Amino acid sequence: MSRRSPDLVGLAAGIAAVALGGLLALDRDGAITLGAGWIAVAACAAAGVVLVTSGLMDRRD
Amino acid sequence: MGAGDEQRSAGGLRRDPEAGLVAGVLAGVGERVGVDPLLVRILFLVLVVASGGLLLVAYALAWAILPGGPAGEGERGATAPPADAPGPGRRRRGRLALGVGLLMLAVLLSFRELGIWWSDALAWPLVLAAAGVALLWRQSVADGTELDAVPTAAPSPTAPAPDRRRERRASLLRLYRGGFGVALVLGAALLFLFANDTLGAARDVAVTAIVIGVAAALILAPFLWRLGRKLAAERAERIRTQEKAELAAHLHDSVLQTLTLMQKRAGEPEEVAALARRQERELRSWLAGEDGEEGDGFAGALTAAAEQVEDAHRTAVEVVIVGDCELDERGSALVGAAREALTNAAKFAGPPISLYAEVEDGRIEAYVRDRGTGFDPAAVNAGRRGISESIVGRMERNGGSAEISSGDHGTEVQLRIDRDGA
Amino acid sequence: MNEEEKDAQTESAPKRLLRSDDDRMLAGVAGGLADYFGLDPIIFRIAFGVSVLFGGLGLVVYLALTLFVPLDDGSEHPQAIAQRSNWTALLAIGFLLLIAIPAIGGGLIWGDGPGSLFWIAVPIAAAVAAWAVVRDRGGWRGGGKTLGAVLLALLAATVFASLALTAALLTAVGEGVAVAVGLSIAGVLLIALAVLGLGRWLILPVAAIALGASAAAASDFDLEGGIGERTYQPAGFSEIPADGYQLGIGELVIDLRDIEWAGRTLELDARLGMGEAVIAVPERVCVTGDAEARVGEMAVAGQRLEGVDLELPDRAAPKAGPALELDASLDVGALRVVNDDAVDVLRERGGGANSLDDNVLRERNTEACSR
Repeated sequence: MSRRSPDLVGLAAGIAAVALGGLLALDRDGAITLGAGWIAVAACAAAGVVLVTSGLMDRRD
Repeated sequence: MGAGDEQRSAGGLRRDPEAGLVAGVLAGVGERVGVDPLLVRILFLVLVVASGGLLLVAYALAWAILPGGPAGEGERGATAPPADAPGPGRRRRGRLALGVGLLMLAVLLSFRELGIWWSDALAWPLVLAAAGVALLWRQSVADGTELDAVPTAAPSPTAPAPDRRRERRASLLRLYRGGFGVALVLGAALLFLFANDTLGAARDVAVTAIVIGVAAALILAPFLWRLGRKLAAERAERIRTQEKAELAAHLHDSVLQTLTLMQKRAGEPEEVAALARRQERELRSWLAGEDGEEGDGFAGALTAAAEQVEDAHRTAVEVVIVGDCELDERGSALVGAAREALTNAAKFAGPPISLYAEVEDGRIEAYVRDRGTGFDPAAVNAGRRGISESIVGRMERNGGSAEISSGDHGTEVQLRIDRDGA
Repeated sequence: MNEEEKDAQTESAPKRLLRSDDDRMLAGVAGGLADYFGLDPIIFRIAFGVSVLFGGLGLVVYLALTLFVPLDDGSEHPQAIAQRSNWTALLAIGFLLLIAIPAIGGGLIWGDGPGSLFWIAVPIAAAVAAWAVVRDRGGWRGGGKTLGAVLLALLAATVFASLALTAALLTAVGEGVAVAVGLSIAGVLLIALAVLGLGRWLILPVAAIALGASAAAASDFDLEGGIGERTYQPAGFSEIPADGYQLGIGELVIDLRDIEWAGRTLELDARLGMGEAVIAVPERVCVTGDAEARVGEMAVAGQRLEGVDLELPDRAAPKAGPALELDASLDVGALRVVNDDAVDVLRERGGGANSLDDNVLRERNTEACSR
């Protein structure tokens, strides 16, 4: 495995984590109000994106 | 996959992954119904919103169930098999399916948040049931293709143990996944009943149904078991008949023809020998199971060259090739040089001629040997193109080398070439 | 060793207790003991298994034997794991003390709840066992692979669960912003690692934190307000704070029986995030008001509810007579309101409150409220 090639799955996971973390921070701080529903949407979307990326990317190896 | 094994699609409905945007479900629907896929897509989007996202579940179900590819191809639902391919491919597909499922869940939840929702009591059981059905369907597809596949050769007695372990693991996996699917569907049913507060009544009904079911199973058990055995025996018989027919057809087309020809040309011993040689080659390769799927790589080209020389000069060349690779410029050059060497051997030496080639990671080596009377390479007129140009020159031009040693015992031509890249 | 060598050894030297390599399921302790005593190893296996359920002392003994008894690998002077160096000896002893103390002190499995050392010791024990097993079996090949893999998976699961729980708890007690920012920073780290091609192992911890924080944020459990055991025994109405009593996690005990009620109505707010809350009032006080719990059980003046999303009907305060108008809410745990003069809630807390008869309390309250 080449050490230089960027790992797309990790990248996607990192971006998802940053986004989710940002949303949660804003929610906890009170700047925005997500409900249980929207948090669930965000979490599912984040996890789903990472898994789909993993399922797609690794296939091309 | 087994030849001609088409998975029965739901009423001729297929996906068209190439024409589709995501999974080709809508494109397939459009093809089947005869409507422009764009219209189908628009209608789909409208219905998705109207159904609170539930139509997406139907889409995912269709993705999992419908076979892909234009009509005429077989098998292949969802993010496809070969159904019995173990290892990383399966895990990848599992992850992809899970990811898609989660994304769909996110969309559904969004619809719920936005208020475009039927009701929890209706939607979630549907989702669970769809997931369970998809899982069970994929499982039955996998089982079906495994069972229908025509066994090519008797299982070799030299490898029983690891096969058995793999079989056991495979059947455990099957059970596990099937059980999971059943659990999902049952869970969906229970959830629906629970949400509608009819769980208590349902329990009584369930007990009655189970009792009746067990009784029926006991009554029908022997019959069903015999039926299963009969079906298995019929399938085995069918397979045998199929194989026999294939064998008969092949023999008729090839060997019989050749024998007839040989009788007709009985007076031309060279011709007869050539015909016999050609048939021998073909029968050998058929027995070895190559089925005419000759590689289009280096080995295939080299073998073809040897066969050409055999046919042209009515002689026999013994070919042994170890390894294979893609046919590139240098490989072609070596094939050409080998053909020249073989032609010389056929013209001036005669059988037995042998061609040995070895493909390694960095280079290819080939040897053409014959047991003729030999010749002196240096004594050959340098003006004649024959050896120097078409063999030595060709090799050297392509980054390789050719060595010719000849004596009383015969001639050996060594051809070497370096492969570039990995 | 073959039979002859074994016999020769037993003749020349006293028989040594060794862990068996032939007859081993985990670390060969039972097998070794069986060899030494000349009994069937199944006896020891059953004994260890049963002892784990009853206080777990057997687990400690097993680990001790694994660490201090050498493995019979055929060499002349087999060494125990703890003997390999001074450091390992110290570590082994320290670790054993760490888990032996709660084991002897209070029973491992049914110990003092989440706070006991058991929950730290078990993952460590699993890790040590995994390492020992894998090492003894010559690395990742062979049977050690499966067992080692299982143990390692257990360890990974424990770590994952711990991370998620920590993130959830921190979010629930009000540090959600910090956790979320931490998550984002971890995400940036993950991006960096991914771009540099240094691996994606960070995904799992990040996922754990994300899961815990999201779950806690979505469920909106409010565990703010401190952690611990709080006891309040106000002597009069004026001592009661305006916004009532709150606690984030722990035990909240409010004893109102020292107050001079006369005929007044006390409006009290009580809020507990997670744990047990006990409110005691005199028998002649009418208990009314609103009590809610998200998950757990409530027993308010004899009325008992259990489950999820509990709510006790709001009863109006009586026209005359002493009354407590309660506004209590609880996220996870137990809420008890007892109208009893005698029970010692300070010492017995929830246990004492729970031991009273519901019917009696209910009748008392009905009588108190109908005056």
